[in-house]
Amino acid sequence: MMDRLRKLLCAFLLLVFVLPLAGCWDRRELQERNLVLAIALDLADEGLKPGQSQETVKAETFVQPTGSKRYRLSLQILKYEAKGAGSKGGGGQGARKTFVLSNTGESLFEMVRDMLGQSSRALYFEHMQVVIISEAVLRQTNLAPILDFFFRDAEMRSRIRVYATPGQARPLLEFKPPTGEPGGIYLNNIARNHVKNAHIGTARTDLGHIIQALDNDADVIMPRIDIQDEVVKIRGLAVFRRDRFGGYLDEYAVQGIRFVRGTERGAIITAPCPVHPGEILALELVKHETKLTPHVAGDDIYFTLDINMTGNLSEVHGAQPNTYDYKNKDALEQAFAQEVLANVSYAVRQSQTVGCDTLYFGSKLKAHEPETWKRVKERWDEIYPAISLYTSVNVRIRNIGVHR
Amino acid sequence: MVTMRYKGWHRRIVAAGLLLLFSLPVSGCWDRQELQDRAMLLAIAIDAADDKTAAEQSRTAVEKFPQPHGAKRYRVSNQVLKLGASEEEEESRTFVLSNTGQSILEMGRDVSGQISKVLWLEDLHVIIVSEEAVKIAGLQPIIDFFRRDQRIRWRSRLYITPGKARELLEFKPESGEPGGMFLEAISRNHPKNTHVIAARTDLGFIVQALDNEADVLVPRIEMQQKVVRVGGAAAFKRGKFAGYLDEYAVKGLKFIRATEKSAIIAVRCPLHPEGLLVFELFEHETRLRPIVKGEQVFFQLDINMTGNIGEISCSRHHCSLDPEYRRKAELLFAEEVRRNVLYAQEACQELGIDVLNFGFKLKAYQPKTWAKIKDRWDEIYPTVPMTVSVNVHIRNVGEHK
Amino acid sequence: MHQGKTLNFHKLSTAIPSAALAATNERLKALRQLTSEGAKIGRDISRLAADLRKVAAPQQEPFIFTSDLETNERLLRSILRDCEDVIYRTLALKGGRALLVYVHGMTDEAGLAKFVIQPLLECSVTIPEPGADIESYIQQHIYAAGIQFIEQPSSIIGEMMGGRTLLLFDGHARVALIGTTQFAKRNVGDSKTEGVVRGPHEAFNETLIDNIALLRRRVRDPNLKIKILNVGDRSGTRAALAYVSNLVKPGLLEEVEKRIAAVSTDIVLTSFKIEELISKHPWSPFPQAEVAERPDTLLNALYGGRVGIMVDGTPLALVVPATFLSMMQATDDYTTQPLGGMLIRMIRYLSSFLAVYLPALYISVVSFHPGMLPTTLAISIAELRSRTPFPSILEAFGMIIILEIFQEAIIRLPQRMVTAASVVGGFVIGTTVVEAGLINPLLVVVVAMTAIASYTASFDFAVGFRVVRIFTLLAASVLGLYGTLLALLFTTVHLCALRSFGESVLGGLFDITLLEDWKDGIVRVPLKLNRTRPKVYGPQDRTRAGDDGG
Repeated sequence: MMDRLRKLLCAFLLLVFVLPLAGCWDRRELQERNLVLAIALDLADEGLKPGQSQETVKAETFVQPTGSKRYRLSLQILKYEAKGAGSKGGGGQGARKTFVLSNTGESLFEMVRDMLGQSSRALYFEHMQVVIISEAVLRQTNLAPILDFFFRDAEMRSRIRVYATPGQARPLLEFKPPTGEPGGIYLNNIARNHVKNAHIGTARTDLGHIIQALDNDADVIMPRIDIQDEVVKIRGLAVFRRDRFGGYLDEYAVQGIRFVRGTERGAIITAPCPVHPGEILALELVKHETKLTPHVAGDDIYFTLDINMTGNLSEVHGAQPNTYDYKNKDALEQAFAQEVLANVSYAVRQSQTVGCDTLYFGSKLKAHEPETWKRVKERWDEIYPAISLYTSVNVRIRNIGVHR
Repeated sequence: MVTMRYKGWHRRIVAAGLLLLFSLPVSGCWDRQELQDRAMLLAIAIDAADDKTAAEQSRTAVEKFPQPHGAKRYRVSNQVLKLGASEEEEESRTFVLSNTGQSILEMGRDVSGQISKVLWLEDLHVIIVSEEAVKIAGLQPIIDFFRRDQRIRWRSRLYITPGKARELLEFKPESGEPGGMFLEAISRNHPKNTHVIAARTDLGFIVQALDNEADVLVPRIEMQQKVVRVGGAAAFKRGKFAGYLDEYAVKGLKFIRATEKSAIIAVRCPLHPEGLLVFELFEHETRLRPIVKGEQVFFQLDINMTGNIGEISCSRHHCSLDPEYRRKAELLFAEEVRRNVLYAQEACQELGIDVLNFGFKLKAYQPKTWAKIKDRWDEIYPTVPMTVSVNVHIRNVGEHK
Repeated sequence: MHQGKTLNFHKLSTAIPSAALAATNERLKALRQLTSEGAKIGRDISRLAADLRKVAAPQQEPFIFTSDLETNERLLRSILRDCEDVIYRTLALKGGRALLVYVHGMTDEAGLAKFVIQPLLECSVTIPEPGADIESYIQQHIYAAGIQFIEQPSSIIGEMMGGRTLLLFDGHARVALIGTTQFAKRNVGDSKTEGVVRGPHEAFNETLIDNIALLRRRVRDPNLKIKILNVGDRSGTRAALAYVSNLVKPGLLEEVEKRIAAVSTDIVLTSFKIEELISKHPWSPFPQAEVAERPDTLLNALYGGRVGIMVDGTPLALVVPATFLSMMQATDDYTTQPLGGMLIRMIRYLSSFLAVYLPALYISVVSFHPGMLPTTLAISIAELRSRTPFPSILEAFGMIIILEIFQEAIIRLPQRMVTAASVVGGFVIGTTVVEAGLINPLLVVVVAMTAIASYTASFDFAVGFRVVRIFTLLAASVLGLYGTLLALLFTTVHLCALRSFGESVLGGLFDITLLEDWKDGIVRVPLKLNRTRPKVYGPQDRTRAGDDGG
């Protein structure tokens, strides 16, 4: 009994002594961390706030033995508003504020760490929402070296949005959303609407997907974001050959690409009215099936695309076509199918011009015709722009939304 | 007899009670000053007195007082916390009061003429001294008051700024904290930021070093157009300002002292001039010891580092999982650390400041040699060589196939 | 001065005042008085001893009754010295005298007068001669129902102290015990700790006999056995073992009896003392016997093959063996629709988990892994927290201590003060502390949630939860989620290793061979689908329906 008691006591003491040693291991209270919501990457001499000069940039930065002052990294940091009973009356629901810190250098990691010299709390990246890269940076460097830091760091989430912007990136961090959300969250949430907005190419373009594409040597696409006079909009895509910036695709091309990839759930298709020429009709897409198949005939590679769409007639301008008449309905369906066909071929033509395999022709070929793929793999970059796509579209109108 | 004793006991209690009662008003709530009646001083800035713009001339004329002794040498600014300032408004949570004179204490008392409450020093977070002020008579006379006053906390932070110190007090942090607390908190991130020398540089350590006639480093703070940044260090040779060390030298010093928890080491890829390899350090052992061979004194530094790959911007061309590649990278990093450490040592020797404590090490390990060369140490120090051996080990690459 | 220096004193008393003759005499007198009193006491003691020794008492008995009434009375009076509540009533009967001895307040005096004294006094038959059969005389002439003849004098005294009346006759050593017990007691009332909505409301009270009657009234089964034991060396408290003889697991009853027999203590005032003394892991924070305050709960357990222990003086019966599943059950699970019952039971499991782990999870997420929170939640928590000066761990400990103080105060307070205490507690702590920015409102929600959640489990178990909660919180504050998981593992292992009369408290839940017990464990299936008794208690007959009944 004594022996057991002594053993127990020993174990207990050991435990007690170990406690302070283990020393609150990773403990840093939530409010002692600065949540970084967004990162913007500009060229070193860009991304200045009005009123800032190169003097400021000098004050921000550090002496750097290796590498050049190549990029200017800006972090958007959430500013906590102490919410309590005291401030209940005064706009507790008011605009959440953020502020921006910047630094220049070459290694992103080094810049981030040096920025602790401007921040009173630790910088915390696990809630980061968006990365915005300016076009100037993309034109200068490939994507992989820029994003390398994000791949390796464990604090970075795969669901982070990556945007390209034709202008400077830092102004997007300074943008104050009218909804009162913190900027980074607002920018991220815009992309979530892609389901109903066929003009936003944000499906499968977050950091995780980009990493995947880079790892597979596939072509990267990322949404483009613009800011002009307090108007922020995601429009079109920035496309890459592998990780080399190739240019932008416009919204019409994006819609076409999404028809092929079947990533949207509610597109609006407008077509000229076959019954009353000069007016337009709009179809709201409800159901959508696509099938993209590669075919190899000797040396010739071509793809066939079958699209089956079901939708509701949602808007009619001008005189009402008599949709109870089957002939008219067929004509409408034909008109919409024509439009989809035109849209898809526009998208394919645009993609082929840029040289970015936005439709995954390469991977389809690899999956269906591995033998052929092996043969053409090396020359794929040359072959791709010349590949032809034969599309057949079938549109069915289900509801017409009219009652008599 | 029993009753007598009881009575005596009773009387004694009453007497004690009365004594206590009477002494209460006499002692008068001796040091009582309610919290809200004290003006909390968060930061003190010390500038040179003549270092002021024309616009401020009229202001200082009101602030100052006639002074029988001494010169109007310093301008002391006090940052005071505004109680109850709402955090949502755009207004600052602090305000600044200034005074000019020579004795810091005298100025501090005279500044009470500008405020309705008692100045409260025990929450002082930061002391910022401008380069101009410290060049007048060194650090010692400025620090002296803070060392003697028992209200000052030894964990207060001391900064040197190349610009005007008062401007830093007027800076309103974007995060909404009161200025002084913000300035102090910046240096708390030092374990992860190798460019800030904040370990062992607070007021207590500096006073101790000055008392031991040792050389000290003080973190440098700079403000430029609403951007405040801590980085680099000001070096003092026995209390006299000797110059600044840049961030690279500070990083080297931290490698030698091993006061950092994590560091970023970047090197150029030898194969791709575009590429950059970045190493994230997280485990670190150093050993610095003096070696005497005949007349020659030199120091031997051994560094062992373990860490992860943080970033490889030319990773498209390499496979970091390849052991051969890792070995090469380890060598590159080791070479960079060596260069960094030597750069730091050289910078220190150029300024003639022995912040690496070579003197103490020598005294501790080789007391006989030290006794011999003690008097000539100032001449010898800048020429003492250091041999460095670095060993870097990469643990994780953060990559998957 | 000069005189003082020369050592010249005439009398010793001038130097030492107490040496004066008068004082000495006084003291001597006092001493004499003491000695004489001492002698008197000695004489008394020897007389008493002689009284007792007059009769040759066997070993372990203080005396034996003699046939001389005078002697018997003297013996009784000497045993019951200074027990002034004992009443001696002498009856002058035809052919001799009789003596009634009983404890005032424990005896129904009206009944005694009507059914014992009156018939004896009115009796025309003479008392039998010394040596003749007195028992039949008593049986013929006394109307009272319970009459008993016991040999050992110590038991006779014990029974008398328990409320029976002694009847002695001149010339006879045989003593009759008449059952006239009646004392102040609480009526059978509502359950205080096991509330129920649709079930029966009767609960046990402090009287063992009443409690046994409550059981019997519900079940007319001769196989329901009651075994009465005495525990407590001085108190001689009666305890009853209740079991169903053809269901109980073989060996279980013997084990319970063995452990109760091994209990060695002076007095037993609560059943918890028995529970503590018969359980093998006194350091565990969890109870190792289930508590039943209601006869239906107890019977349910007995007909599952378990053993109940009822202790006189406590309205709470114990049930062994106890398992986690059985302790998490409540009567209401069976008095509502099966789906509803299942829902309440699930909620109870969930809330017991929350009661233990919620504060720890909060601490680990807020101070260690804020990345696990959705961003918007992380932001609002950070904003709440940014006003409070303490680290979250201190905050949480502070809140939990405040909570414990409240619970303790409210249990101890007189009923009328409880409202005042709740107002002060709820209002002052809940509102003002938050408004003052000392504690953030989210933590108040977390801790309140924890407290409410812990009330759903039985009180015994809830106390165990509190201990584990503090332990888990400590682990979480040092190691974050890792610590919380370690604590969870540790608690689970402990509960599996903890055995209550051979059954693992939690282990049965994970034992694949006991999977069918889940039918009335984790879930509660309709009775038609569950016709067996839980396997874990090893009943002799597992079928509930179609039982042969005996």
